[in-house]
Amino acid sequence: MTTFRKTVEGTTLTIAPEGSVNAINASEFHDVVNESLAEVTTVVFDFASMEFISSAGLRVLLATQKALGKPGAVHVRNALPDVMEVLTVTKLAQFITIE
Amino acid sequence: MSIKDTLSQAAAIRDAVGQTVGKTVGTVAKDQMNHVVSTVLKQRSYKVLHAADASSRVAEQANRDLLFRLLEDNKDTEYGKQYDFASIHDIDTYRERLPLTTYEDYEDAITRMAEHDEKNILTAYPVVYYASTSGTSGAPKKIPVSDKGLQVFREHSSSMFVSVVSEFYKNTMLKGVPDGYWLAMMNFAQTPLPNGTMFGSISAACLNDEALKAMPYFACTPLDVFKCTGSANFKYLHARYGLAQRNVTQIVGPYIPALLDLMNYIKEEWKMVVEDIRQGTINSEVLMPDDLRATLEAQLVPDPLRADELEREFEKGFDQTIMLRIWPKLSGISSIWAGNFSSYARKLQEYSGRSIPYYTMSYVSSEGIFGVARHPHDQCYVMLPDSCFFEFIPVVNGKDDDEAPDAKTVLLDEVQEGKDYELVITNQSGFYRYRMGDVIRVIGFYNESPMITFKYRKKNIVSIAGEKFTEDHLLSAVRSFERKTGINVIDFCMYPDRDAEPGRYVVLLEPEEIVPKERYDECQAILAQELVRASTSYAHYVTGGNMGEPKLIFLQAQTFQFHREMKMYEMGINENQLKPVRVLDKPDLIKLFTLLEER
Repeated sequence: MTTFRKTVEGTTLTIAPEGSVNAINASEFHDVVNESLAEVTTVVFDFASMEFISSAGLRVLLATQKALGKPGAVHVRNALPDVMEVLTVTKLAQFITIE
Repeated sequence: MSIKDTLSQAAAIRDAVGQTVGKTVGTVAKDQMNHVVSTVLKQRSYKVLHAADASSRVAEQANRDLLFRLLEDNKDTEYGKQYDFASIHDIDTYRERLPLTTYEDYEDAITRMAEHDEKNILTAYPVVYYASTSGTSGAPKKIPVSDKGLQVFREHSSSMFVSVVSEFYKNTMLKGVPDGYWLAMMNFAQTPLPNGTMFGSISAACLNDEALKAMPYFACTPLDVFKCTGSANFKYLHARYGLAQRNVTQIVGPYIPALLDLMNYIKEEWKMVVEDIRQGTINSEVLMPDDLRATLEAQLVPDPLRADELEREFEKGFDQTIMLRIWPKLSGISSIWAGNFSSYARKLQEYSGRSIPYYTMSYVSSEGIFGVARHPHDQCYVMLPDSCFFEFIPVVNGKDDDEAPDAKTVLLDEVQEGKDYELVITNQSGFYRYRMGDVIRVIGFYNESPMITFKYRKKNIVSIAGEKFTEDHLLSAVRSFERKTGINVIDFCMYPDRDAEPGRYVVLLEPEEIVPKERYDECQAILAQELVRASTSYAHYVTGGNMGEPKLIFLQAQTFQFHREMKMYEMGINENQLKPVRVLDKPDLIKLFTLLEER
């Protein structure tokens, strides 16, 4: 089962999924991000413990980037090689900050 | 009566009713104005419909007259002088003297027109707009649109559905369409070019100033939203204002995927939207420019009664009655849904049911409007002989005659039922004998005008061993696959895998629900059969061993939706400018889709 650890420090929201983000839990992922979005200017996705992200999960990343507006406001940290490849091939990596 | 007169009359009604205080009086006044505007729209729309019917009765003559008017009016343009339009007095001379053209033939001239404001190059008519092409790849092209060309777009694309749907109701239910509001998924954002002319989607140009002034009285969404050029969550805004309005009669948008996306969004986010309707707010988490938010918030009032009604209906579930439960007056869905888009229409019917007429509007591109659907539910278009001068290059599968730069054309009155043709147009904006690259099939005649269906784009023909496999063949194979497997396909595409030995097709399907792995072999076999059934030329090569068996890939849920959203974000375009992806023609696109395989 995938869990979403969440912390807010100042104006930065950090979300750390553990497991996989797929079509089944993407709406939960979306809700976890969205419920704090009004309070922050930066969102950091810590993907150290996320093995897989599906198209539905990628839509959440894109929606977060669109919601925050300015390029680079979404950060991705510690992405595993497979996830990094997906971010690169889909061109999401061009619009978010990869750490 | 002009829209200006209408607005004056509407203002008088508003004054008479009194708009001093309170939402109720304001709503009554707005509804009165809606009645007046709706009446004028219906009258105008019927006028356009009757004119289209009249010209269909003399289609050949109307089309010929149009050509000679264009030659006369443009004889002193640079292009007109180059080909001596003044000395052309018959169609054969026109076809012999002028070459068939493509966009590249006009590119330099368009640059001179758009960037240096040079006039009288391609057309003598004032160029009032540049339409961006809605292609799925590459930089958008600039298609000049003259005042005369734009007038044809405006008459046939933005209001004709009103009379067509009204006529349908009168003929089938002996009553007209009630007055009400349009949930219009439009975006009128445009940007200026160096010469000051505006550049944007052709749909953005279709409403003139008069119509824009009338919009508040028939569109749910405020004008400020339609005109917004900044980043905003338009889906939320259309949902917010569309749901707040109980008397929605028409849902309108250029392409049906946008309408389906809206309903999917409402299904996912209705609690948030309903709460905003209840409180009279705009959700603070929703992206939009600050000035737009301030303008909208200043005009909103709480509507707890409507919110309660919506909540009750949404809690009952999103079945085939949901759209009629939340919009009881809903009378039509007008959006291009035929052919390639039919899978989206079927999905939308899961919210609308089958009693609401779907009207597929027009066969239109940035270069012109070529045909209109004459009745709701029609999947074909009646050609408009007053819009462009039409020529047709016969297309015969397996032969390449039609590829020649001097391919022979036939005219509107020479096309034959059941035959396929590539469309060639001479439009009212400076394109002459322009190859659209679209292949259409003539399926009959409406009076003298051909009735056509769109078959495929020539650039989307796939060929590995010499066969010709089109998007129409793919659509046919996928539909049969669905029937035989019981698997509903949300969207699909393909690419030729030339690295395989021998070469083969790879077909990528996004199923509505995850397909169990144990069914993969069965699905693969059925798809292989259906591809063979769909195209005899493909069948010839695959059964002869020149091509390998196809490969089937099931894609993850929401892959096509993600791709559309990413494309819009990357290119800064809206959903109305996106066409479906059918053939993956670039390695990065192939890599993207194959990476998103369901595993």
